[in-house]
Amino acid sequence: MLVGKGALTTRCFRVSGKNPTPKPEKIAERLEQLAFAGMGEAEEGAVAGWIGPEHLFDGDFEPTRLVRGRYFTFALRVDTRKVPGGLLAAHLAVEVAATKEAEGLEHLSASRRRQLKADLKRRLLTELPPVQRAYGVFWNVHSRRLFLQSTSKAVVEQFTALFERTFDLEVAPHAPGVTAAEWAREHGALDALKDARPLLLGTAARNGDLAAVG
Amino acid sequence: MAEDLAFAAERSFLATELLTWLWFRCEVEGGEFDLDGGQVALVVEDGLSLASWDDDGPRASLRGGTPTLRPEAANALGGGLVLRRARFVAARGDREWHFALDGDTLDLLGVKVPEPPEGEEDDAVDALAEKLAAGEELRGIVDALYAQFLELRLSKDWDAIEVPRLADWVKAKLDRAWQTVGA
Repeated sequence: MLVGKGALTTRCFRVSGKNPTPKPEKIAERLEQLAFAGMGEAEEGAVAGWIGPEHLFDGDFEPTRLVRGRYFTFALRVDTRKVPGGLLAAHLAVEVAATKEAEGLEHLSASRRRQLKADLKRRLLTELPPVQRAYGVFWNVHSRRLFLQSTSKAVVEQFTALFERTFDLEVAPHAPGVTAAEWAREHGALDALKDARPLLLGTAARNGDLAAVG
Repeated sequence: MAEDLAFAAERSFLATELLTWLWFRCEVEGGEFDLDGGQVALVVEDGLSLASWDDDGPRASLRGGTPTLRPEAANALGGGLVLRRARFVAARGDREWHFALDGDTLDLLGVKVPEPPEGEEDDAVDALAEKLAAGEELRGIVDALYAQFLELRLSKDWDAIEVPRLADWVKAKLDRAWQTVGA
């Protein structure tokens, strides 16, 4: 099971928009529309899509198996494929030397090197399997809170973009500054928040005739 | 809207202050907090990461051997460093969560949720649903602690009462550190 596996590391999001509490059938239908569809054989970059909550190849979006208690569970799959720079450079050096020898040349023109490099990259892309990653998602639709099992900036960005495209809803990460601003607005403390400056505890302690331990 | 977001982003340092304040409250007042969902006891457990407000400034990491009581921790606080990440234990009744809290985002990392009560493992209870609910409950606890901190932080009592108390706490820790180093 991908969702809830091991110790939980999560980024919390708030879901908002025109209909922020869709029915399970609707959620499942939308997930299926943008389900993970695989990566082309020689495709470079990253491809993201939804999968079921069990494992990397789980493509079953039957609503009853996605609902666990008060949560709707599924996962984000991201496949990436990139030719490592070092590998490409090594192959290119071998290829350039072989070409020069075969054609009796002392130098290869820049355009010829570019062509060799492009051909090599295409070939290497077909030989390299993509790196497959999946990140669990659990969504408390009632409380409009959603948890993504990753805090990586790149994954959060991929998740946010795909979620908003899938559900036509907005999803905003839990941000302490935004929470503070909302709390201050609600409790009439915006001026105090505007005046707040980071606590300089070392200075405060030294003003009390303190010296740091060496 | 963009202005609001920029304003909010500039105030995210309050989350970092929360961690240092929780450490202070745990050591000085025993770490019990009255929250809406019931009382919660908190302990700073391990894995302290301290850093200055300046991104290029000094950093300190302390692990193992009750790091909160080590002279290096006192020295870091006295040198103006604040707690940026730490592992905590939170307890509500006989249920315990072990987790790390990030002071930049308030993300919960490596959360171990309470074990189900004995005898319930084989019941029809959905263990995954319970685990996810326990994870969300911890999110609620941390959010409530942050709200309690904001209430104090944005009041006149912060500068008048709490900052001097925090300074006294650091002073007492440094005094103990001197004694330890001198012993």
